[in-house]
Amino acid sequence: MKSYTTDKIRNVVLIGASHSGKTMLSEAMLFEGKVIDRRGSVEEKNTVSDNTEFEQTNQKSINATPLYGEFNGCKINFIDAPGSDDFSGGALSAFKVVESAVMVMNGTTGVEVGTTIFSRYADQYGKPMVIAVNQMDHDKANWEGVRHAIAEEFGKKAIICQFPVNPGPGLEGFVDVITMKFYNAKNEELDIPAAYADEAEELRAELMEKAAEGSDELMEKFFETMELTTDEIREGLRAGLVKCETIPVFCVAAKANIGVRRLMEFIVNVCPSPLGTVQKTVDGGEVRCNPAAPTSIFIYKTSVEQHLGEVSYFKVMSGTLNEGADLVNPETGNGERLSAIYAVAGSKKEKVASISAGDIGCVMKLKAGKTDVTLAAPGQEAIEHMVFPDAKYRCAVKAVDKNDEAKVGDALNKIAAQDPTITVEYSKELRQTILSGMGEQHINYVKWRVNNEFKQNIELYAPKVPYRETITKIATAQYRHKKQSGGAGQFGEVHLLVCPYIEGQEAPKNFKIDGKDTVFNFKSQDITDLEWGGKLEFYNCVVGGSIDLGFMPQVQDGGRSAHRFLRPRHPRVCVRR
Amino acid sequence: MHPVDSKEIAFIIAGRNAFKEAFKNAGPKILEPIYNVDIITPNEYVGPCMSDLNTRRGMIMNQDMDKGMTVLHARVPLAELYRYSTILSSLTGGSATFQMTFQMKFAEYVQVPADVQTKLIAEYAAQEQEED
Repeated sequence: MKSYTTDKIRNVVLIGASHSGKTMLSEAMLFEGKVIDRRGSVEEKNTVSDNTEFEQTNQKSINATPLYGEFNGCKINFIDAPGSDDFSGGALSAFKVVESAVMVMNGTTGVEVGTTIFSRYADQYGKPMVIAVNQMDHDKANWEGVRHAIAEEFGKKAIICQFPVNPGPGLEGFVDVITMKFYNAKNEELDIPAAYADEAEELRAELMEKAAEGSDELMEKFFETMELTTDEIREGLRAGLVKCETIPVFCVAAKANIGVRRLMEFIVNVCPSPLGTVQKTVDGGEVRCNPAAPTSIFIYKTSVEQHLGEVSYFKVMSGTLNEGADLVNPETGNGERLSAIYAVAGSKKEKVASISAGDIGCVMKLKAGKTDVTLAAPGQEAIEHMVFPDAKYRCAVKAVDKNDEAKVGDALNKIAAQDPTITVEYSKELRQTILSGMGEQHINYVKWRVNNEFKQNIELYAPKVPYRETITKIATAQYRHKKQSGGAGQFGEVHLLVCPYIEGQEAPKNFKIDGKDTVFNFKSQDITDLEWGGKLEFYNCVVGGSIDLGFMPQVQDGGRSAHRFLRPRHPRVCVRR
Repeated sequence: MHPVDSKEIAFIIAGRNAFKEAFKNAGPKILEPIYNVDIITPNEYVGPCMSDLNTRRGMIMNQDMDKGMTVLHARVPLAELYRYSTILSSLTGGSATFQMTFQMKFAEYVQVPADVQTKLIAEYAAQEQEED
């Protein structure tokens, strides 16, 4: 396989609601990109992208699968992201390595919850978006409805670039108002049928106006001549796209492979290349995507694959990665030689000699780092880490068989190292292992993996709540410990008083004990801030050497251990004695 | 003061038992952690979200708007938040999201209602017995 220069690379992520057809679109793109010669389907469980058993049984993507295709001399890397918010970690890590996103929409339902969720993410991560309205050949395809829903959701940003001719099972093709051509169901480029010429002209005028907003020069020219050339439209769209101010809308029928070629052409012609894009470093510096700069690669995903073991996916953020390169993890100083590097299309991996800046590839069995790390030529800075939303689902986990605890812990830690949206930690206080992730399905998938990949059974259950305990009134107590039956005896007697601690108030000294006013005389004090925010103050008010001062720490220890002893799961709060 | 038999262990035991005794008589109360939960939901689901929060002993502190969505700022006991993402999702057809935050400080803990305290103590006693 040949190596592509940075300007000939496009990185996109396919996002969208579940069942909008992202996996089918990627299958068609692989076919058009000459990577596969036969298209699989989700129902037949033979797509390149959904290559794990779990994905095939559930007919939905769990992993963000990196794929590529060649089109017009360009390499398009596209990442097929899962549509469920529970697995949004895949889409979010893809945002780190792509320049734009293709929002795939279901042509029968239009804007769905998933559409809104993922467009919000694209917005947050500042990624330009292209809409591909899919399933235009479905018998319930509703172009007019979808079009209005898009206008409502995205407002003036969305601009129609295509419309379907006879949407539904008899779909004839799409009229494209950028090229002003008609693309039929065999993807042949023809003249626009006369019946659709008016509608095309109308949309073309809107498109030109939108494209003119891209730059001042285009705007000037547009006002002078009321006309822009096709190339100028592309230029204007690109400018608007990069600023996230324009969302071009395309139509496809991925299953029948209609319009997919044209979408890829648009990605090549208009979507930004990685050349010159900037990544921030952890130290506040910048890494510019420049093939001549020192090599720096960022690992955005690690997974365990059948027959291969651990595979790490990366993007070359700058420089050129050659086979056999010696790179260093700038944060740990660990070095590693990348003896073999691969281009990826799902489970298909192809060995390559070099990968240029901006391109995506993978390596096997990396030791110097897992997900979210930089490997670079010596002296380079680490690239800023990925950002994920906080965990939304927490539960406690344990091995069904106590003897397997160590193996289960190992399995969970391995999964957490691959998936940055999973955390596993042992809480000493709760005496439970807490597993957190993006949602219940996500956690269930972890359970499935532990079961299937690691052959261990685990049980998930509700985590304990870290309750605390405090006191609300003053109380006194005394205790005499006496054990003097032969040999060296034990004798100790303690009198103490507890009272609630009130923030900002000095410890009171006057108390009424057994009806008698008593004034305490503080000999020494010890203040402990409890780790959860409570406070424990201890005052020594021993009178006239009745206890050897040397024993004070022991009385105190006794008191402190008491609250553990008293009700272990509810440590005490704010007590002053 | 008993110079011969006064030993460390004697004072640890005496201190511990005296403390236990005093604590028991000092009106002990159980505190529970209260999380700050921000729920971001389409306007049409604000009602169902609010009534669900009520059943979880949640308190809605205030609400505002963000990009056409309603944001509810609530304080909810952690004990009531297990599986909340799944519940919120089925309540709103998957269209709402939420974030929760907690700071380890005293003010974030609140006394549990009397009925919850009774229940917790009973549960704890049962567990103790089981462990013995």
